[in-house]
Amino acid sequence: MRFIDINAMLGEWTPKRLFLQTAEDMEKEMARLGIEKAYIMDTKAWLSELSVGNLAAVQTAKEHPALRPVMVMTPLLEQEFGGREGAVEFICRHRVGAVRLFPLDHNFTLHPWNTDRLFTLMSDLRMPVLIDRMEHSASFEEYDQLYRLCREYPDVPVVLLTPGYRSARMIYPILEKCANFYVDTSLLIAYRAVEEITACFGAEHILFGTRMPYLEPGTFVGRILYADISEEDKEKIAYKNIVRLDSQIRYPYGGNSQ
Amino acid sequence: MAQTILERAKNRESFEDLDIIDIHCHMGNYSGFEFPDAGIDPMMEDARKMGVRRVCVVAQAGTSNAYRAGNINTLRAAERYPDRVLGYVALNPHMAWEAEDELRTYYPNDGFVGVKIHPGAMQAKANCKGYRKIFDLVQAYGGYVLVHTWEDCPYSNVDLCGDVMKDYPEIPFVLGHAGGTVEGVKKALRLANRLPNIYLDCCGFDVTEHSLPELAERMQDPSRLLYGSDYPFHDLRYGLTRVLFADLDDSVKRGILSSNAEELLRRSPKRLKH
Repeated sequence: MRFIDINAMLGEWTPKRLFLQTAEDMEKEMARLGIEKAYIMDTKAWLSELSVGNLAAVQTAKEHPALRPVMVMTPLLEQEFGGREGAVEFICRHRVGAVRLFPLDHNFTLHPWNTDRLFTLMSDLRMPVLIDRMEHSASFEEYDQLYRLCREYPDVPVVLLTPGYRSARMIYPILEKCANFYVDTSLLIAYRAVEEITACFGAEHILFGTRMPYLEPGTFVGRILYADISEEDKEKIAYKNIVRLDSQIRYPYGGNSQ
Repeated sequence: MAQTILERAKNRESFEDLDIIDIHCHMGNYSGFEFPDAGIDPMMEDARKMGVRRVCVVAQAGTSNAYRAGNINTLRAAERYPDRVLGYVALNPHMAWEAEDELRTYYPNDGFVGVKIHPGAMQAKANCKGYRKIFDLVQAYGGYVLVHTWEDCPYSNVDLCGDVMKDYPEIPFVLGHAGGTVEGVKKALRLANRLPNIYLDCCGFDVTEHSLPELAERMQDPSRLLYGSDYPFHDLRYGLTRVLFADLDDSVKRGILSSNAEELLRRSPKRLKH
């Protein structure tokens, strides 16, 4: 079974020393477990310097073909990304595979009045947007914002990362109402949650994600291999859904995604 | 050459041959959040598929004021799956005077192995008088104690556990979730390295911030590291695949999954019989 990991990261993370320190460590662990590719961000873009972190992620990905860069963004396109054109140029030049948002730690609301320009761009590019639930405090109001974004930007694949085992009553209604809403497998660990989501909403809504090296990736590989769902659905979760989303990204420069 | 546990797991094999013991299970649904029907039958179905031989269970009501009803449910499960379901007697520190009756009722049954306490759910500090009364009884009647621990919790943090557990060196205590948070796991490791009656189980999501090999390496006596799933709050497969896919020698995995718990059971005979 192929596995492509939508939720990985490299870099420092105080106060914890992560068990994978370098891209080489990560590739070794991926090979041990049979993970073919991982979408990575650099934690500097989250925890210290946005642009430095984004450049580090693309540089690492250039040197490690099994890694795909993820760009951390905020709503301020003009001030932080050289405007819409600057963002598009960066995304195309580095074949960014997804954009990741940290609304709580980066001090912005996901409400459309604030994120409309960013999400208009994401919609034009059909770019997957990863929203980090463990950082995102996931109050009821924030789920409201998530739902509104999904409804107002149906062409943007919105991926809630690390949804947590207590979240069914909030994420299931969004899964039911929004075809563009996805969750990843990291901490989708409540009893039979993978099976229940697959049965009720379809395996199309689940992306394989490990949150390595914050979490141990092997357990999520195993969770899918041992899931009580069809082989076809396992393949969708393990890699086909991610490949499908990737094929839909529109890169205005340099040709579309492979 | 025999396949490694990792290779077998990649091939999705069942592990009946390892005699796996899941030291930390609940049973039943929970009002706080939704998951599918989680009675003893679906649990045993999952356990059978994965090759988990025995599960140690406390029924959901056991961690509430309806704990006595929980004990009845645990007994029913143990009777329905003799030799495969091992029960914990749930006890209430606010009603510690009832504890001896409960132990005398359930301990003579071979299906019960010890006591489960949940200071957080009971809103009673792990070192309070009620729990000390319960531990006095366990000291007299045997078995071991599984304790829910979580560092952020004012009732079940590791400092409170350490304060009381040092006073009961003959009782094996299993720190469920190994302290829970990043800081909690560090404290739990220190406590386990200081007191030989402390065991850690490796379920609970913050625990995963520490890789399992790191936990095993830092424990001076890794034979006190145990597999637990926290079923059904967590899927039984989640905790199990964490061990199966870990970058650990198979001998260490076998210890975590089976022989360490076997030794704990041997070390914790009950002294109340029919």
